[in-house]
Amino acid sequence: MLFQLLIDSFSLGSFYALIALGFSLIFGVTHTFNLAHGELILLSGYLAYVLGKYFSIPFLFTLPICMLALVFVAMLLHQLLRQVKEPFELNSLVVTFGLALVLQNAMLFFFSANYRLIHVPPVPPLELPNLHLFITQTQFILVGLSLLVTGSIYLLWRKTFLGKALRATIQDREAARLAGINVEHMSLMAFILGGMLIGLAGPLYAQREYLHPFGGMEATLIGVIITIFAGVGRIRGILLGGWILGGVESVTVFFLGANWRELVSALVLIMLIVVRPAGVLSKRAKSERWR
Amino acid sequence: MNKPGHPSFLILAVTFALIAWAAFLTGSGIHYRVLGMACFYGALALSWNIFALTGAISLGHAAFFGLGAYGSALFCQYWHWSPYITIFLGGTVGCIYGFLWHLTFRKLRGAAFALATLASVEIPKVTIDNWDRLTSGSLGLVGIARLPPVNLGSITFDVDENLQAQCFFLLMFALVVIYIHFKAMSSKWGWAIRSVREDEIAASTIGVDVPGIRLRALCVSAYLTGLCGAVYAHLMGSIEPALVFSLHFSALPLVLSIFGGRYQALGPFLGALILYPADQLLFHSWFPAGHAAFYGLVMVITILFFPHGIGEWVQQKTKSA
Amino acid sequence: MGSAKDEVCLDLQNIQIHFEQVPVLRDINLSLRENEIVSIIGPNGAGKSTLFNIICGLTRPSGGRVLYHGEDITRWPPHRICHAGIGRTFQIARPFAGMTTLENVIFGFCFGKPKSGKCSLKHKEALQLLDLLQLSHKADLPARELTCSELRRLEAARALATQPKLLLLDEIVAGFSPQVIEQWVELLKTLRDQGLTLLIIDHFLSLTAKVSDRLIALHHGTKIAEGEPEAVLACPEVISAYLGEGRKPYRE
Repeated sequence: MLFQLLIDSFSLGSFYALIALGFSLIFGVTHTFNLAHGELILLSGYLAYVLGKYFSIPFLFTLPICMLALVFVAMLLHQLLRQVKEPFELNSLVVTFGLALVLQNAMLFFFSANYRLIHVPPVPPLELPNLHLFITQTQFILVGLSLLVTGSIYLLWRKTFLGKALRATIQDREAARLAGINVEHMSLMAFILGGMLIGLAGPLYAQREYLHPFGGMEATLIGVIITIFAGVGRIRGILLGGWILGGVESVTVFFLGANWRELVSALVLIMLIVVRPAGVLSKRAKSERWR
Repeated sequence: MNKPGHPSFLILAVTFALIAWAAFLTGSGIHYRVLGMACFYGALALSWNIFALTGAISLGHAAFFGLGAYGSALFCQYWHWSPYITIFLGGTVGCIYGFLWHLTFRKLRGAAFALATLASVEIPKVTIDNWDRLTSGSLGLVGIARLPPVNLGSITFDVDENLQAQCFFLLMFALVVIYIHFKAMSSKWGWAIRSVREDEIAASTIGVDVPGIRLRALCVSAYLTGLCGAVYAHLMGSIEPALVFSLHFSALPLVLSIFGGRYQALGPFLGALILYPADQLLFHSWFPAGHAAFYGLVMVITILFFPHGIGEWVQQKTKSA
Repeated sequence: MGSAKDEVCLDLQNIQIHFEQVPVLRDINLSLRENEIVSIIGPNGAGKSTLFNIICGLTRPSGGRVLYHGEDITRWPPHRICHAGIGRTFQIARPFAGMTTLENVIFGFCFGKPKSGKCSLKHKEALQLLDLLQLSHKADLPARELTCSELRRLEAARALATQPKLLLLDEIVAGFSPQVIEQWVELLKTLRDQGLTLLIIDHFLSLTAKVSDRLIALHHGTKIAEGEPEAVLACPEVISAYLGEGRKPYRE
């Protein structure tokens, strides 16, 4: 029973890490508090739904389409945010808040408040008979893709010049500029990568949870919680944070029921903001800060 | 040059004209309804703005709204007191939660503060949603007592049934809040609030009790927002957690105030008088579902092009004219 | 006469503070008598502004006490310290940019002491103070339109409006010409004659040497010299801290 909980936490957590990674990248490089993050994920989810239902595109093929679409949307968002004046963090928060409202209502208009789910042809879950554990196909895809993508980003982050340039921009924008890095390109890059991650998260979300227009804020808060926990740009920290949050939520759902889940997330977020506004892990491993 | 907080003559005239036009137009009930609700949302926006005057943007005022609504409705339901008494109790519940905010969030500023307030709405929302025995949980409360008629001498104002009376009631309500908001800009308290907004460190070294000022503004704002929530509950007759704690009631005062002008005495009210009827009379009929996107759009456009709100923009134009 | 002058105004005992394990101030002991003018000098990073922040309540020290007329004000909030009679200016001026010069000063009168009544009644005193600091001609301009020199004077005016008994001046003349510095020397002497005690931080040895009764030199968070201006400025540690090893003492 405990192990089932672990498996559930692991799969949920890996997905949460995926959600948070997109948010963290955009926030770290451009200091944009994107409150519309969750709504964009929903948008991608609805797109996958439409592609599957009306164009009969197999689920796995919708993934790259959604990723591409959301990269495009993210680039539009980037252009919009460039017009925002000081104070940037607070103003971008309000602008994206407004955007979230627009998206929410647009989705309400086009899709109504009915719950939608993407149906993947049912496959019996993988069973480990000795341990009485079940791993569903959904979970498998979720974990597999999440880890694959997170791993790829991690490699990009550590092994490529682009990754180094992004890290430098996160650390100190002015210094990066002086070192010859084109920080405007880095901002664009962050939105492109973020868009990809959002695009991927959408369909994955839609096949395990019901899509409805007001579910976005939850996903945004998850991104915020994990980003604050891990500190900006710390990919392993984000994975860890995702698993921990996934664990906390799974345990809550198990013992208290699904109704209290949002409350627990909110309390975790408040605790994190009050106790460590700069990011929890960043204090502990100071010497390893920008790995 | 206008003293801070004193609206320009043009703005006063426009506001007055809008009210007079709709109030004395012996027209359909819908005009009264829309004007009345516009005054209501104007009061809500002004209540939010009182705290925003200290420089803090709250995204969580729906918490006070919902607590006020539930507070008043539950007191009414269990103790059978008149709504005209319980709405003030509802306001008090909101105020208490505001005090809790101050205790927990006092060191937070800017985006961190906004996020924390956003998250804090979940606490009363989920609690009420699950506390079935007390609050009927997600089913919500129905059959909430409506506002009883008010007798002034020989005239009876049936505030619930008669839309014109309701409109005047809400207008009076808005006027009270306008007055309090005006005081929060122009009295000595108002000056202190302004200094906190401009530079809280400098303010503290010349003797302004910064935490005290923020607490006072927050509690007044929370109380008035709770009061609005309570009035809403008795106007609508039924409420549920998903409704009264919804993002809508956090976002709306934000949009209306930013659009109308956060640092203008009548700014938020003006924002409501312009935007709410536009939404209800125009967009609602075109897009029954999703018309609230209008507010989101206004928010985006305002921040990008009129960061100080329409009110200030108008003032600038009339100054240069 | 002697007893009033000898009374201790401000007493710092063993003040220390760390920022993230880095000690910024170590065991600072300082005593100010009534009506004295004392200057603190020292290279950048010596911890001088931090000391001011501790005195006026913006920062809490990791250890030590601040005594003002015998009372322990270490943990008092900044506004209470202001009401008690300590005023300060900031190294980088912090005016209320959206308000006029006059309004900035009225603020000081209005909030500097508790229960000072309506703000609208403070016009006259504010104008007098602006006169003293030669800012009357800019009274109705928004503060953001003042020049750097005028902003410093506004800082001082606003702090003086709170009717302090002890005034902390943080690098009030940095970057100014000798004539302007002379005007400030005169102003500071006038303030002292009016009964104020002054604690000044400045790089500009030309100001501090002329106006101070005593000089205190800080380096890397510790006091390295204290005494009469000439003595301190001739002290080898002070010279090496400021100018490098083996230099000659500062001469005007």
